[in-house]
Amino acid sequence: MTDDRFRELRERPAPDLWSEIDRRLDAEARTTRPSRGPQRQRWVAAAVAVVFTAVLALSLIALSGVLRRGDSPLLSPSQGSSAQPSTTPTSNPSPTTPSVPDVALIVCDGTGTEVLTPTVRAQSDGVHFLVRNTTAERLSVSAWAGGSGADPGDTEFVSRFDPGRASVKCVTPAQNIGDDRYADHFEVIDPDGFFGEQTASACPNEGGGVSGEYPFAVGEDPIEVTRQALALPPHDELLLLGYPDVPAGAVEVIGPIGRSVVVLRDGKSIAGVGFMYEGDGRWGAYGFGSCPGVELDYRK
Amino acid sequence: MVLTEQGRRELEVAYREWGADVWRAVFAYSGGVKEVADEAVAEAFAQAGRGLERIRSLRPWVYTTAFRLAARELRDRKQTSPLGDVRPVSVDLGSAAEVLDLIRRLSPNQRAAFTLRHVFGFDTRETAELLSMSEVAVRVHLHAARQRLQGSLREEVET
Repeated sequence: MTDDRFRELRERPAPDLWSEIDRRLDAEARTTRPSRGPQRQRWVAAAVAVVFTAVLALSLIALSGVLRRGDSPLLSPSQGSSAQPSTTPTSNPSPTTPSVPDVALIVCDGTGTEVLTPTVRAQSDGVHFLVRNTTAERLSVSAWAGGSGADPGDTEFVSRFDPGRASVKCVTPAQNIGDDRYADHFEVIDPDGFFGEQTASACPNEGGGVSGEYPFAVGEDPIEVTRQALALPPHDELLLLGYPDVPAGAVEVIGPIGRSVVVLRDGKSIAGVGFMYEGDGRWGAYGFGSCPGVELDYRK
Repeated sequence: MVLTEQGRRELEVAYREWGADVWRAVFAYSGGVKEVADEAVAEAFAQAGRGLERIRSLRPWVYTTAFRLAARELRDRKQTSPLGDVRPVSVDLGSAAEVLDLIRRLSPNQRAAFTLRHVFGFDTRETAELLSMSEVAVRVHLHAARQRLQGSLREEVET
């Protein structure tokens, strides 16, 4: 019976929408978009500067967080030493939380930022949020070490916030985007375990770092890249943290698209590598940190 | 970006080949709201035309975009609906009404994965490709969808 009901949907006559699509394409071609001029140029320059300066810092911050997280396995055994790039649980995800939205709603009225959804569920590609710009001008939006702009009306964004407290800010061109009085916050939860488990265990006096060119290694599988770049012995366990999917489609990304690999030796975290998405399915290693007393070298 | 005549022809060929499939999927995804499916699919193809040269794989891009546009429209309608729900009012749904009623209970990602995998019969890999997700993420959403639907359709979609 169910199959019949599905078949009715599969075989349902679809309208011919091509004339409507064609009309929209023609309308687009005829429309001359008003130039945003110097204001847009300033915004782009600022956003680029913010992103570039933030990427490295973010990698190192994420790494130090990873190292602080643990001297015990951070993920379930099924997610452990596998070289597979995904960390998402496959067989036993946490129960969903239907009452919590998976898109945050944020209203920007030109006087500040108001989050209407205090808690939001992470999706597999990050944290989605809808900015509702109620002003008549384009606003600058800042989130997760990145920036973008929101025209009047609704614009959906995605950022790779870690689970926990997230901050979003929107300002007019006349306001200072560095002023946190314009920011508001929401809590990111991850009931589906997309990001990966976090623990509170500490790696004391974390240190390390890398000098030279970035990225210092590139590849499709961050775990394999880490194993090779750090010349790790086979018994070291490598864990991959961060949202498994890369945002795609119509939603704009704010901030870097990153993931982290943590290296466990004898059950304790000894090092971590921060990755940024390079495009075409490839990840570049931008950050490296190790615990004191751990001797690791990286290879180009 | 200006769409060339060749680009427009390519887009029309693509629409003629699988545009109706996208519409059917979005129609099911939207719970049978024809206006939402019409608008989402037309706008997804139009947006594709505006950025055709930047799109590496058109079919997944259109599916993903159409689902997102439909989700946004449904959300807007829900916020302005006095009943807090969006239901079709003018379409003869026939025997599909029960299925669509169940699909409406799912979150957007669950709904998209469930629709493609179980209603339209794509395998997990194809579903992942069309939704620009990993297969793991699709399995997570399908698992959650089955949990939410519990006994209603569970027997038929356990695989």
